[in-house]
Amino acid sequence: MTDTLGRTPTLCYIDVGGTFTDAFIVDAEGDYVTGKSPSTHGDMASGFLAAIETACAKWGMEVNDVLPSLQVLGYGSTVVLNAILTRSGRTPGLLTTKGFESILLMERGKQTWVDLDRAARLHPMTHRHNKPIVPRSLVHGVTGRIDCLGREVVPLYEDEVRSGTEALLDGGVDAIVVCFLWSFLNPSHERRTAEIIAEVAQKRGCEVRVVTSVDVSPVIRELPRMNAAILEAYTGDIARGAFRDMQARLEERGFRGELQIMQSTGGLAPAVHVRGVDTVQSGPAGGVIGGRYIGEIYGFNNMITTDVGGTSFDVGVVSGGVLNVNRESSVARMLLGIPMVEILSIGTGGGTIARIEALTHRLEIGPQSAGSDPGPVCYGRGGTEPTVTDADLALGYLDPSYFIGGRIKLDLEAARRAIKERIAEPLGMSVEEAAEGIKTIADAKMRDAISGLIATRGFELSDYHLLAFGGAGPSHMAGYTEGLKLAGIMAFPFSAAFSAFGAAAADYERHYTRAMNVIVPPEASDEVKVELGSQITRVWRELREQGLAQMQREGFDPSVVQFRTLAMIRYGRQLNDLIVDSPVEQLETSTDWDRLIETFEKLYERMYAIAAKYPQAGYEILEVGVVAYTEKIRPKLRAEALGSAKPPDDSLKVPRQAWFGGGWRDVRVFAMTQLRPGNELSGPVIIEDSTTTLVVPPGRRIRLDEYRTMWMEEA
Amino acid sequence: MMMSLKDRLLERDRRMAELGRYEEKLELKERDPIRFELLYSKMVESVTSAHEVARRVSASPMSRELGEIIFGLYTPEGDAVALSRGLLIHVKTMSRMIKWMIENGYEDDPGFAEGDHYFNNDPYIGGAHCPDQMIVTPIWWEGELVGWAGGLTHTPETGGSEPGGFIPFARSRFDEGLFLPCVKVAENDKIKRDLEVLVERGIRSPIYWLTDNRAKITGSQIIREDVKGLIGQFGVDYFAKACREYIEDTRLAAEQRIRKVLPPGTYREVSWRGSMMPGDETLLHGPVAMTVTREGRLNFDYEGMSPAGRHPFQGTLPTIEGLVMNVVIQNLFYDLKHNEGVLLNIGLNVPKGSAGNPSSIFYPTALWGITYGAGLASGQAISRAYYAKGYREEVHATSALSSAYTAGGLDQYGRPFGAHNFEFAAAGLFATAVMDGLDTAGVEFNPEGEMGDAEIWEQMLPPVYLSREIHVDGGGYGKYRGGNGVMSLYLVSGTKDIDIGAFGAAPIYSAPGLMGGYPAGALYMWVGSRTNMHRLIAEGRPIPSGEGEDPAHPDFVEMVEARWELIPGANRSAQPAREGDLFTAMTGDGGGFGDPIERDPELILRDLENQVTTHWTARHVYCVAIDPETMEVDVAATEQLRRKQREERRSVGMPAQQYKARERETILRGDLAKPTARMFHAVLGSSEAFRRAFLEFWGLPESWEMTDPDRDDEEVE
Amino acid sequence: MPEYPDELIRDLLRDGLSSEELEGLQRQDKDEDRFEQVLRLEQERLEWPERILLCLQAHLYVVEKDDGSKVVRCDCGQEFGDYQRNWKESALVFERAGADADAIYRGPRVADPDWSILREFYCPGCATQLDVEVVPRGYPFIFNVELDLGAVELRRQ
Repeated sequence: MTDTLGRTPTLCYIDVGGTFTDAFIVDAEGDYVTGKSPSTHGDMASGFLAAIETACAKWGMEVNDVLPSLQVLGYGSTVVLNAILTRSGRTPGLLTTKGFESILLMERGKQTWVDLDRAARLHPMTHRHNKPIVPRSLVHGVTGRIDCLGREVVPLYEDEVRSGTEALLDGGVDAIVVCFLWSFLNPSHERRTAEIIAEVAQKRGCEVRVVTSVDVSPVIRELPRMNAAILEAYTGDIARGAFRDMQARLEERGFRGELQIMQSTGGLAPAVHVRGVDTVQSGPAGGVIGGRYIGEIYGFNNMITTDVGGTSFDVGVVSGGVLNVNRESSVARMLLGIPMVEILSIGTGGGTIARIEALTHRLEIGPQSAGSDPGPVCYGRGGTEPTVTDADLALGYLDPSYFIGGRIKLDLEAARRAIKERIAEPLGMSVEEAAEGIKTIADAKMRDAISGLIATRGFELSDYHLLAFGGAGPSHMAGYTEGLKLAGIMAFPFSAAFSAFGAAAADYERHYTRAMNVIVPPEASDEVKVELGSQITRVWRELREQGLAQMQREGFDPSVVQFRTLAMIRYGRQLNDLIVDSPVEQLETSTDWDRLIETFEKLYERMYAIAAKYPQAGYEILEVGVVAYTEKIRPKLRAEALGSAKPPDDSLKVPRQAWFGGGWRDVRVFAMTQLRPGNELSGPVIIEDSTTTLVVPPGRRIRLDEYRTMWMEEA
Repeated sequence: MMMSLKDRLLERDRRMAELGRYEEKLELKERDPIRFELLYSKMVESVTSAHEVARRVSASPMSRELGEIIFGLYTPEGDAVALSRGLLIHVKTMSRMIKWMIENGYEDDPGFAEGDHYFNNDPYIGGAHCPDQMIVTPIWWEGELVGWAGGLTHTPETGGSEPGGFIPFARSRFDEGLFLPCVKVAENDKIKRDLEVLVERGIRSPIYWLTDNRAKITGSQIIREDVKGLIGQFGVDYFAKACREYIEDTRLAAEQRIRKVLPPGTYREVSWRGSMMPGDETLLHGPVAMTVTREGRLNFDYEGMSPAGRHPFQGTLPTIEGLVMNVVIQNLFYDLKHNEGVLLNIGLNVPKGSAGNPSSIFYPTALWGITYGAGLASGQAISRAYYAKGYREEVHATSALSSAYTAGGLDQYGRPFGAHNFEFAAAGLFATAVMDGLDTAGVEFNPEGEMGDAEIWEQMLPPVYLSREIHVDGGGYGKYRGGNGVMSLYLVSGTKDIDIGAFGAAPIYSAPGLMGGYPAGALYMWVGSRTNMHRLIAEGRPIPSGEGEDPAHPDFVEMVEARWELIPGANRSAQPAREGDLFTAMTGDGGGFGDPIERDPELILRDLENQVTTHWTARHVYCVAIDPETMEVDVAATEQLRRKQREERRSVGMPAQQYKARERETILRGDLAKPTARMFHAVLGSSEAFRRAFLEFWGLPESWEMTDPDRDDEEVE
Repeated sequence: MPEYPDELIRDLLRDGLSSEELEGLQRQDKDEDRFEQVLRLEQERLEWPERILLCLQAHLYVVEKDDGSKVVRCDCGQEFGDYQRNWKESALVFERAGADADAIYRGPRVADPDWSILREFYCPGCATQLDVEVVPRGYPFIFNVELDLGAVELRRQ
């Protein structure tokens, strides 16, 4: 179906955030349009459709015109995260290894402090246990033990499975989670338990969903694995129910495809098949995928994505064209054995509060945030403590009458007053100096987060291009990239909706891993290596088959499915492994082994230091994996011819004064949407559109390339 | 001519003594506070990166899972400027090591070159015991040594007379394992292979030590390179001056904080440990008197501490310093810049020759128990002061002393091994004046306490968990109860050649309660050998999964035929075990707060639901009437029980003066048990202040002398 | 500098704060005037008119009497004598060891009385358990808090 102008919308991605829902729509030509609408958490579909509506209105279209032609409709969902945060999931029961029934109350100790800031971590009085999702009364132990080599030490006492199941069903659970020690190495006890539960339920004439930990998260460490299984039981049905409703609402409006959900690992999966626990970090992955995609367009392998929002600064990394994956994440103070796109998030965003520390008179930024309610002082909604946004306003970077396109009128005087009373006067500074101080420290925190993340991964900044987005990203990019020796710094015209754009560029993707116990002693002979290699080769093959079958079930043509082959390698008895993208798909000869090990050694040396290597200890592979993926239609960036360096006259807005480096300067202001490829602007200059403001200080300049990407360079 | 480090160190001490401050003026801070903070945040970022990277390099669960690791940046004289999170107790220990090398002429021989890495695990130089291992590296800039970077880890095996680093019956330091005091282990950032061989062939599980070394060297290099970058950016003079100002800045803030939140006065606590050396069982006295001065200083006086002896329960001066630093940071200075400045307003008196400051390196410090106790007591003293000032949200009792098992032999993979299970880093925490202590949540020496997953420990050590449970009624009773620790039951499996031991304490109450709360109970360990476990399993009969509700009749003893042995205090030499043997390990529990009969019955109901207390305790200790069927509280019956309890107290309680008169007779008769009598005899002989206080309290004449409790034994021989 | 409403601090003193409220209090900078505020709120609650100078510990206060003497007093009204002397000297004492210890600690949880006993101190007035000392037999009473009250008063000026 085409509209009056002949547009055929083919791709749409909706990113539901805490405050706003973003829509990103692409047509068959690769043209795109963005929209924004308040999130409606009670009735997700309304906000979802409203966001599409505001976007397609820019093309003069209505929702019903857009939906029928869509080939892909993606969704970054907070359904699961919300269910966890508000403790509004189902009622699962738990069968676990006898003697471990209190594991959710003990929380390994770590869950009492894991997400706290430094001061609170060091101050044990502030630590707290979480309220467990499964209460102790709905946990039953079952005798049976597997050891660390996968051997059965104590057989499964099946009568205890039966009595435990009966008790849980009596307790009114609607799902039963099964998590035993070492099940990821030898799942026989968990599998048998699932069978018995089904028998018991059948006998009772009821239905109960069984979730085994080995199926959800087959990796070492029982608490994160158990948490993952519990969250799946707690939220999976709710999520799929919500997605089904959404699908129905969309079909009413003419949508004919299948809704796709963004997973935490950064791939899309059909809503009917997705697991709840894989969508915990559904939204933020989009920005990083977008970074990877932009990298592909430009031919850059290494990208850093930086997203400055209202409450946080999120950094993601793409290295060698691959998203960094964190396998030891935590969500809402729960350790989770589920891989997620690694995103380092620090509490420094527009709404972050600046205050003077009482004892040392030190200016501190965050971690407290005014959030969106009451928000910064200048919002005039009751905020009294100055924030980063207030400082940006006081410095003249933001236009009080053109914030979010003029939808929020900012109160400059209130912001100045708050900065004066709470920061400037105690420090003996002017309001402008104090505001600049707030900005400088906030920028420094963001800069430290970038360099810290890169350094701890052993990477070199000079190999990376940095991409700035998010509502406040372009306002601060000059500050937080200052002094960083990057390969390049880029911003986009649709910064505020970049995450949605990025997610729209995602592939269909499924991750599979399996625990192994492959120990390669330093003195291992070629025969031993070949034997061990065949074990790994077999598992890789099985995982590929599993992936292929799943993708086929989901409707993909097997010929388009591609694979990445992973081995998680460590030196003998180390506890941390590296995910190695294997250069070979099978380990048939000792040469194959050597190529794999060489890849590991190179990565290790780069990540740490030469002195950290320890080949004398041999190697261990305790986990291998496969990523199955297929590409799909993506938004296109359309290149335009480069024009003159001088911006068109109609891009010039009313100039204003802004504070840079200790003084007020007259600053030209441009409309971002009116700038043309080839335009060059030297700082100080401000470039605005309805959702973001790009600040170019003296000494920096902006150049628009053929995609209208804005490159920030030294002047 | 550049000043030598030794002269700089003297100059630093002179400056401190003269000015009473670390740096006279905070010029950089005053000139541009924003720039001042910027540099500091970069330093913290750097030590934090080092910490994160090092965790990934190490093979030791202590470093990787439990965060027993810390990195720091130091001034050329060895004062800490910025620290990562982690084991704050060891901040001062690296500082001590650097100063020791300077004082002992290392600058000339063997010299400090770029790329040198020095190792130390000698606790008399820095650290608490052999497993505390640190590596520091000098940072050079244009021919000048501008600082030090260093990291410390706690390694699970040291090659001692028993496996696992904690040697429960060490009689001298030479039982503890391999000491490498201030030894250069790497040059040009390259580890010396010969020293690796020394470790590879010198201890049971060299992998932990050697990968920890790699972790520390990697982390130190990160800090060193970052610092050079910062100096390039800020200038070397700015950097050096700023380092000194950060320390003074913290000192000033600490002084103001003390003045604000702690009322002047003297606050006293006493902690106890005990040496279980056969034939010489001796209680150890660990008193502390904390004085808050009007000027905002804190003086910790350990006068009266038991003298050092031939047992592993003493610590070194750096240990007490570290513990005090740790205690004041957690209680008072958690939000400041953590560096040497924290300690500059703090005075320490640890009598020379005492178990907190032994006069000879001959004395072992493997378990450093009494210094630990005295450190914890210092935290409780701060709590009393907080209470008096009205900050009840900061008031807490004492947290736990823990035990753990050690093992050595051949592991499940057939490799030689020695290690301990360190899950006790998530023991029961103290009760507070406002809520119950957290169960299985921390320890005093590392606020980020965690126990690691059972699967990680089973990968490292052959015994298999049969249970890992919250210790029922572990925490001290009180209006708010102490946190409960962990109780684990293990089955020996997968190896034919293994020794099992444990380190713990004497059978004492080690975590006192506060203001009417009870202490946590004593530690203990059960060992069942020659069990019928294999038969029970083969026949599908029930096997135990823990202690059950009644520690007097534990489930495992009831269910399993074995030679059962109870070890009060849980201190046990490693002894051979065989497949099918069972044993327990327990962490400590926290002390309680307030009168138990003031406890809200709702809290008891919650504990009953979570199965961490029993109906027996509810009735006998808390005097609450709960119907076990309906789980309802009978309010009237509860009031009745509690009234009766008060009456009971009036009838058994003796007026203090009457009690004193009675006890005085006991003392005059010399009617004290050996462990107690040995303690009094030793302390009265070594501390004049304690002797005077003792005589005065009991109304004894100046001429009174205590009989040596072991005199008779000698005469027999 | 935070200042807290009386209701919040009153709830703190009477165990009425939720875990989240407490966490908020614990994570903020300490309020400057807490000492005065707590004294004022405690004074409101107590049934006797004499001025409290300081809250010594749970149930015990240092009180200034009309005759100018400064004594330790329990909230039930029981007095323990001059604040510069250990209040325990005026309490009821009960040594808990052996069977008495078995009455509340079970099995091996009881410390060996050769090493460690409990000394419980009760208020002779209301029989509240004010302190439990962990000591060996024969150990002097621990004088926990010896105040420099002059300095505290000075700071109040």
